[in-house]
Amino acid sequence: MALLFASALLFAAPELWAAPEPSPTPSAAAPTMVGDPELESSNGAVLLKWEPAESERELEYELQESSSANFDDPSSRYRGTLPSWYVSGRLDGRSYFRVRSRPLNGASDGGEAPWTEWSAAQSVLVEHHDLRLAVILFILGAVVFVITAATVLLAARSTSTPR
Amino acid sequence: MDSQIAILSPTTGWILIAGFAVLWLALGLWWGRKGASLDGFMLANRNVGLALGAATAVATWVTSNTTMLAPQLALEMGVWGMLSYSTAAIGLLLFAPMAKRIRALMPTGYTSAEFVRLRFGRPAWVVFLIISLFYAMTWLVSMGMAGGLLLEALAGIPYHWGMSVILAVCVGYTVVGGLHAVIGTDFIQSLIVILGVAVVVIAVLTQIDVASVHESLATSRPALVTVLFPAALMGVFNGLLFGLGEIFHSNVWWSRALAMREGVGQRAYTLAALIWLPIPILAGFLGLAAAGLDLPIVRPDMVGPLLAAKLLGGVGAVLVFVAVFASLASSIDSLLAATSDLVVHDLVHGMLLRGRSDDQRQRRHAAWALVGLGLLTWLLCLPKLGTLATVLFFAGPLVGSTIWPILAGLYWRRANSRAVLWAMISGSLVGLACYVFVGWYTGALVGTTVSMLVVVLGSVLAPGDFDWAKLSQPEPAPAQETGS
Repeated sequence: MALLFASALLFAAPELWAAPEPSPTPSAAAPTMVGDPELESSNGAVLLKWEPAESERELEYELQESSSANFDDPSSRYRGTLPSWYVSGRLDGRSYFRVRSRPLNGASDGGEAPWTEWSAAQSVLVEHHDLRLAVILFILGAVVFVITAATVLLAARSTSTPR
Repeated sequence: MDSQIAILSPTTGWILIAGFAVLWLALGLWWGRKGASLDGFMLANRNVGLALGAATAVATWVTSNTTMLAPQLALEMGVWGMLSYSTAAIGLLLFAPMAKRIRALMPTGYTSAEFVRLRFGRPAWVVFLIISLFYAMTWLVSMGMAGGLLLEALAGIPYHWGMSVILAVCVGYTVVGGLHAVIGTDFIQSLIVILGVAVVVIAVLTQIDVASVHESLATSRPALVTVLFPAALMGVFNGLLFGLGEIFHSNVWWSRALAMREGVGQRAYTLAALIWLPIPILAGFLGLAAAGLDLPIVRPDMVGPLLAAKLLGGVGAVLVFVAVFASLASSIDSLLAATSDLVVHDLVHGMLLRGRSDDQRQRRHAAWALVGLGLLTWLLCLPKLGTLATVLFFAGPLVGSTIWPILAGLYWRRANSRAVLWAMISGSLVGLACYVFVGWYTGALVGTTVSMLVVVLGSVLAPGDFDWAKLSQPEPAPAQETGS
């Protein structure tokens, strides 16, 4: 009976019998993405920034991007010590970014320092300007420029400069 | 934050700054001997030749925006961004024939605002002066901020120290040397900039594979190599017209046109345009290369210097530092000199004293105006607001609205003064509305278009009749003095 009870208990709560994983030293809190959690861009460019929870030690960051909010298929975009990454040249669509950090010089016992948890995700929605509007402005600009340049050149040629 | 990416040590940075400060100040003192008179101080005795004339135009137009904003535009707008910045050379090309006419129409003139006053009257003059001074301060502040950012990013010198020192040095040699010192140092600075940018780009090209950069861009930042990039398409002619507006109206270019010997202006500006044209293309390429290499970028306006420093190490950092320092100084000194001319000749002498001050008083006021302008710029740079593009492009609609007033004023006898006044006002307001509600890439385009329509329609419906000789005749003495 006791064996049966113990078996049931262990089956229901495997963490009680599983060999304990070398749990990372409780590390500092995750960095925070700066700014609106839902960024928007009409030219495909946005500067992502983040802040560490603690600023006493130099930190290494990892920035991940995914097309889904729960980061099913993430890609590592940046790994380094700088607290920002410039997104540009994006086509229409939504992307999600999150960041984590760890001390650059390793743990206090000399081993590799553990990463913090991931920050809350920040989404970037790229919706480019209407292409028709862009083409209209391009043509308008070309017309205004050609008229201006032609006026300068024709006026300079035909106007007699007084002496 | 920016100091984390420093490549040079602060000590090296300070040594370079000290060396240049001593050099520019010594040259300012040397050339300042020729600037005792008002003509000497403000217009280099109206005797600038072709080599110095072309060099000063190149150096002034190669601003820190060319070396720092061109890569940012390429990074943001791709190939279109790079090419659209280079179209600013067209402004110099089109100003070349205008420089010849300005010199001939106003052989004893001093400023662009003075031309507007004589040509279109006081109401248009006041509006033009507001636009000119706003633009000049915007440009000056963006230069001061760029100086602080550069020194912080490359040498770890705190922003406020770097910005303060750069402004102080430029004010120093401009006060003691006037336009002689500005043009003389511009000649040296233009050589440094051209050499520095060329060496950096060639060195970068030897270390990267252009094909792989393109491939990487097409994968990770596809819009940068897309022809139908909406924001970039909007920006092409906006940038071009912005450049035209900057050059056509700004006293920086008018004072040089008036300072050049007769027959020199047109050739000098044409030559300057041809020399300047490739520089933003080369600098913009650095932005695309950085994007292709996925260089982590803290501030997009620092991408060019950072890439050079990353690929070329200490030598690259020093080269970039020296080139950008020279480009900063060459623009700040020109702006200080030309803007102080506006403040003294138009604001103080024309508006406040109503013409009741002689040349010697204006000469003394000019030195104080330079110090005051430097101080004001320093105060405005302290908060470190926005990126360079945001700060600079805010002036786009305003300068765009001056293109046609200047053009019509120089060549069209029947241009109507009231139409010109309303062209500047309506062009600025509508352009600013588009800047705010549509995007910065529409401000100058819409401002120019509205202004052009108002000038042309207003002058066709109610033509004026201007006597060109009024521009070269001595002005009558003020009413108070005449009566006394």
